[in-house]
Amino acid sequence: MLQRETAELLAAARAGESDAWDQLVERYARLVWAVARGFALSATDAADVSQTTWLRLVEHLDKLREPEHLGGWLATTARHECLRLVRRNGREVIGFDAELDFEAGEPTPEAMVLESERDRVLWQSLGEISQRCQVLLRALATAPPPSYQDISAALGMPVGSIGPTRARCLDHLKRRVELHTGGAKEQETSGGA
Amino acid sequence: MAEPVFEPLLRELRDVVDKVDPIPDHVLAAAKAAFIWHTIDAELAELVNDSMVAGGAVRATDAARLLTFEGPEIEVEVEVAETGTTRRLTGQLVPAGSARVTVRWASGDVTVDADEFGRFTAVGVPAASVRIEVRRPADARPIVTSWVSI
Repeated sequence: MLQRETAELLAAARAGESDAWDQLVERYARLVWAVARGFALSATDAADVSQTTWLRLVEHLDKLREPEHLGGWLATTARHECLRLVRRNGREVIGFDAELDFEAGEPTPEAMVLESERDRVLWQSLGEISQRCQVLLRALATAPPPSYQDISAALGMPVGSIGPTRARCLDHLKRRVELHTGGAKEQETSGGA
Repeated sequence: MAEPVFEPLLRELRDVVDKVDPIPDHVLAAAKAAFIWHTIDAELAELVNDSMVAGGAVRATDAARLLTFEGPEIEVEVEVAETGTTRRLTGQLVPAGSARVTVRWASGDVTVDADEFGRFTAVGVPAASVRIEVRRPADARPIVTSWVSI
């Protein structure tokens, strides 16, 4: 149903209907944004990635086969653009799977808009798990929820490994959250080692 | 199509991300505005090589970035150099020949001439998504390159 709709919107956009284009943007822009921010790009760089991704779609609109894979196409294009910018900024890309493991107790400035302590901890913990997990979880948490095909494109991973990776990443996030909220208790039980 | 349950933690995460880092309105608006480029009648020269990606270990401080675009009857090679906050684009058209070359971005453009050897230089280009438009005297339609973020 959703796929057919996407195909119809694509056809209408090809025919020049800007409303159809706007609906496509509404449907997938958050996924593209989530991928860019998941790669820890600044808001400015993420805006660049988003813009280049949508411009690329405009330029390929008339040639795009398999409209049901549009989300995956956008996610792949966004990922490639992210990797370009990451390289341009001179950052390492090989540490995709490394736990970032920041010092605990350093909430980022953005987190100040969050009123609940639980939310702040969750946001901070998200920034501490591996880049791959951040991209995956941020993509999964967008509305409308992307398909596993879209996620696999965003990460450049086979569809079959998305399920297990998702479980692993959620587990890492949970453990980071527990580390922040249960730190005191843990110290008691581990007996001052 | 059955996908695993949407865990409570993921739902919580969605709420937090929506509050802290929602997609900015201007990003959404720019994506919608990109559609105006759809009507352009031109031959596309696609990005086939980017030293930033191919080179692997290229760093911002290393040599200038090289981009290669390939169209049906043209190749456009561009060197991108950082000049403060803007970029200088030095290009070579293959086959060589004079042309009008326009570098476009969302909010502006700059037009320069490529000389008889197909060489051109555009300065003051912002660090943004840009595309290059090439008009050669003999061509019925202009050639445009893929958009690329510089």
